[in-house]
Amino acid sequence: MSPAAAPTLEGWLLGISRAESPVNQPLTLGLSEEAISAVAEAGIHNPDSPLFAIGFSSGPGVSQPYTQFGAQHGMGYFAVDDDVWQVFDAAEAQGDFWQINSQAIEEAVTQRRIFVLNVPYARVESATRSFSLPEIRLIEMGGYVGRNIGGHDILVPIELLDSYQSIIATVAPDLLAP
Amino acid sequence: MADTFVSLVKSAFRFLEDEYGFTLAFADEDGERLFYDGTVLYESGLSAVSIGIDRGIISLPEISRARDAQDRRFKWASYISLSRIREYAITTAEERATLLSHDPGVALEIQRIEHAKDFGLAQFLRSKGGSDRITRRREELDAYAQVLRDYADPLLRGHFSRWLELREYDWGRWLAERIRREREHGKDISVREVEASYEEGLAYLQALRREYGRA
Repeated sequence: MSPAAAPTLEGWLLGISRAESPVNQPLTLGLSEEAISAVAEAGIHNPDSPLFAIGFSSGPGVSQPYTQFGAQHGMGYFAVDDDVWQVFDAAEAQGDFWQINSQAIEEAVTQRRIFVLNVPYARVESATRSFSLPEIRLIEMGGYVGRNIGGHDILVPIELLDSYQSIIATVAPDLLAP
Repeated sequence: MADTFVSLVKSAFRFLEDEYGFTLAFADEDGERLFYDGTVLYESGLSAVSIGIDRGIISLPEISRARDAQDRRFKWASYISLSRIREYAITTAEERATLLSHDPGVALEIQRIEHAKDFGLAQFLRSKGGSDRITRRREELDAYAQVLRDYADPLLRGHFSRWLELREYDWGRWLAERIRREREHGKDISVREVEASYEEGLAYLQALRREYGRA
């Protein structure tokens, strides 16, 4: 049997060894820290919401992409414009796109937002090719725990465990209805 | 007309309509950003196949029994990834025992199995030599279509005699990965606790066990 391919340092830190994960793809664009931060910041929608939507864009059971889910409920979410996407798509730069995506998530973690998934947490755990799996691993490293509210799996900062329900009831009460 | 995710899927998976009697039930993709996100769903009277793209990453097809896919109670749980079906077919009993282990000490052995068997087809796809990204995407979808033919032919024909066996393995893999991860972090979590965290998945498996007389 051949030896295992080594994951990237970030893949190792996130506990994701699978070669197909975006976190283990090579970097091809050589983006600067400033460029990564600028593109990530531009891709964050509804930046003032205490909630942040994550999850799948497509697939079985997904009635609306996580971007639409976030927009519908006034939550923050990450999505880049077409002109930015074309750069990454043309270069087939999944690893570089993960740099942008992860920067947006890290920013939301720093702001201690509550993450709301549009799919069950368990589905994400098995989605080894997806951006969603490294996203939830990254969030959990930031002091978050899982809860379910209104049928939605959410990731809550540990310091908000006493108040997250009232926050959601105030800013997105329709999420509470199953 | 420009190639799009949906047009490439329709080309690669045309065999589902021609050879297995599926019809295209649903196709949608981002209207602005090419190859950003989208879903294509094929259905026959007995089976359903979904192919998706999410932020530029094409997933291996997912397969369900048609009646389960249409059951609102199981909207998340009814599908299984072709990746898992192939994994079940190409691993030995000994390898599967390792993959199903709850012992975090087997992590390196699991990495070796994953790499050797190329569960996510990452090495296989890197070996493809398409000259541009559209060609490489076409090759990727053609490869998924071939894997679907090779490993899911009975399911595409509506023969689900091994469905429960596959679903038990898929459930066991998910359980094992969660338990190993929790234990790596010093938390001893029980099977029951993990199962309770995904109510729909457990309800689906229990319904299958009753149906197959294994409850």
